[in-house]
Amino acid sequence: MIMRVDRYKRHSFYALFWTVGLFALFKLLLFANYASGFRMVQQDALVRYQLERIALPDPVHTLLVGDSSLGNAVSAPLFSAVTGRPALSLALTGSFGVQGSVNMALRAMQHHPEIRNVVFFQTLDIFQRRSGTWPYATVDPWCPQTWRSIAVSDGVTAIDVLAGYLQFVTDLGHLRHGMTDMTPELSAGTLYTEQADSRFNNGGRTLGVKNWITGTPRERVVQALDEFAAYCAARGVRCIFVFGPMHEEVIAHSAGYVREVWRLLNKTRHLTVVPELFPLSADRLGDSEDHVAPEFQAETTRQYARRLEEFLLP
Amino acid sequence: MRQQSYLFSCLKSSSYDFQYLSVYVRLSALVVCGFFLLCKHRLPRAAALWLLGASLVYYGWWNPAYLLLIVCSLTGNYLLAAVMVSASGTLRRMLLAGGVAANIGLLGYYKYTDFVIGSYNALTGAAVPLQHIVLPLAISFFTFQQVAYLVDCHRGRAGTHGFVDYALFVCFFPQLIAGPIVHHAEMMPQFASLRSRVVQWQNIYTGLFLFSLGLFKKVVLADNLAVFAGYGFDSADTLSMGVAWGTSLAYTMQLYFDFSGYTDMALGASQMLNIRLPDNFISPYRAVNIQDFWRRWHITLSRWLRDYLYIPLGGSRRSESRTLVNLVFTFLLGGLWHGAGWTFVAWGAAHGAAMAVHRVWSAGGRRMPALAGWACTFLFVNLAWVLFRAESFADALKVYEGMAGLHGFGMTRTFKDMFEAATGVGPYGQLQFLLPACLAAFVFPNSRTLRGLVSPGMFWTAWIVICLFCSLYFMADAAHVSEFIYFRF
Repeated sequence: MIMRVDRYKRHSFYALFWTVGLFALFKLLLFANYASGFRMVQQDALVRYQLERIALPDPVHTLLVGDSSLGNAVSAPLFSAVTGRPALSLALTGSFGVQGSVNMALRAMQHHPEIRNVVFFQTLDIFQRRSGTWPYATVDPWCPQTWRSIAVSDGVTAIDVLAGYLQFVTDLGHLRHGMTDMTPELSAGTLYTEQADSRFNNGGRTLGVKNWITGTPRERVVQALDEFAAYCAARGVRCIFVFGPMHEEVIAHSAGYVREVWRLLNKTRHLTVVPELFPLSADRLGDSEDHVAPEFQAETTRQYARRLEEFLLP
Repeated sequence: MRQQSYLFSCLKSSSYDFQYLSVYVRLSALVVCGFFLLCKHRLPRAAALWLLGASLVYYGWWNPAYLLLIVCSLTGNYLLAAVMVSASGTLRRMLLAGGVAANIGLLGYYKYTDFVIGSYNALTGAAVPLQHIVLPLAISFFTFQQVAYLVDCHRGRAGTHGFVDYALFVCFFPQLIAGPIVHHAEMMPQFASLRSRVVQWQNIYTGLFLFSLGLFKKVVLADNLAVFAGYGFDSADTLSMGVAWGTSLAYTMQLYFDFSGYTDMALGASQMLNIRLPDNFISPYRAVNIQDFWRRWHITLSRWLRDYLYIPLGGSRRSESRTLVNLVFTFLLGGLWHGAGWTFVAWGAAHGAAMAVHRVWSAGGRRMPALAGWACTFLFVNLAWVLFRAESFADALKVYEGMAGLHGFGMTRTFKDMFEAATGVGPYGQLQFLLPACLAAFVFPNSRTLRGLVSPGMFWTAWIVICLFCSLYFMADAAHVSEFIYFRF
């Protein structure tokens, strides 16, 4: 009996010891992950590519951040030429949410104190989307507290931590095999990821009722963006918001959402909002209702550049 | 229309819930150590006070102002019970009526004021302003426990107890927030027992096992399923058939693992303190009929409703039709107990009606094959949880429409993209949590069975370590943990 009691005692301590020990080891590995510079941000090849572009020494006057509606619609070199101000586009995807753009802008502003304009170029339904679970979007140390709290309320899972950790392991593997070039497949024409073959302008994609935006925008996200605009204003940087192009039928069928978006955007105090949408017909659209077909990118870039010129600080 | 408590909105909008879980885990460890340290130094009174103090600290963590409410409530009820025991006849009945009315009135004020006002406004078109009263944590639980105590005092079945034992019965921290709803007869003797003041390593080990299992259920299973279920219910407009069924199933599993996980943690933390709490779940989703389901789901609530509502109403001692009315009425109130909203009432009514149908069906000696009975029961329970979860009837209807295929069968790209943006794994990714959860609910031994199997050895120790490590790992990211669903009741 006494021996059995001793076994219970011994195994109780074993359980606690191993749990604490393993967890401490895990924390240590995570810390090493951060400290070694392999941080979780490298989970996504596109992020990695854009981070490399931030590090380039070329001066940046106008920073374009946003999702794939930016990446497909705007060519930064052409935008620079039309506006006469050197621009850098750091488009991610909509999955990163507005906070992905904020993270990118913060990084770029650290490297380029000469930036005078930050243009948020987001797709129409971005204010409806919940926080991304990619490490870069929510867990990254750069992510400001406001966005973290939004992610918390979104119930973001901890899978991203695991993903980040596994990426660290993957990175080590790549390094060991000398595979350091992780640049994603980019279209030479658009300087953004390649579009799928199935497109609106070749009949490969069509719209349905499910594509209409019927929900309501999230006020907290708009407010958080306005907070960031205040942060920029305090540093002499103008923060501008403009919607990316969208299929005209989606806009027509999303009137309630659009009305509510404008109501919220009109309440912002520091954010400069371009007060219009950019509807596109199906024949100009690529593989998504907010992706300009590659052959129309130059034309769209000029259109945006001319429209934004009056809002940009010199 | 459904009134959400302030707490609920707090839980939804901050890391408050995470704090509570974190505090619960840490407090459990601290309390067990402190309790036995005091007992070892032959300070049993101080040990009991330590438990009580820890329980009040835990309660006050949410909002210290509400400590006053629970302290006044338990003191008032204790004094009332003491007076009632020495009174007789009409005075005794009046004291009971006054006590029950005060408890139910307090619960009604905090929980149902806005519900009543909102319903009145909706019915009459009036515009009486809502009061937005903050619902005190666990008020539904401690109200029921104290009402049962008063009723039993009136029946002469409660005996006399010290104030500290009574206070511990009401606010013993492992089960304070979300049950099980304990009965004084099973708790107070344990608080008074000397046996509970000696370290019993078997209880520590088994308690640790239960605690780790509960934490794993909550943090790893329920919280991950919550993401999918939450996103599905939030996008009810666009749910195709498969996604709608996946959403409802995810919520069905989330609710079970959330609540039974909390119960296991409560049982485990208590067992480490040598206190045995009643079981609350026995594989409810394996029930072969609706009556069986309620013998397996939230057992202590069913027990309370049976002993203090259904039987006093006449139970099954009167005519068959009266029995059916009693059943439905009991479940209606059971539904309303869960939340101040018509969807909860409808959920309770649906279960009451199902119980009535089952009673009529079985009265004729008819029996259903076990597999068919299980399928019907689970299908019904799953459908009813949609009502339980939806913010309004309109939202519930949208999910039902989706389940019926009225919103299509496949997933649109927009939905896939947005789902992926929200959950990180895509709609099919939810299977990585949903399938193990279903397997655990339908096939694996439940925690009661496992508790009987636990013995000191590498297998069970490894089990504890894996459960605890995985839970701590997921808890390391505060963004991931969602609230205990039953906190809001």
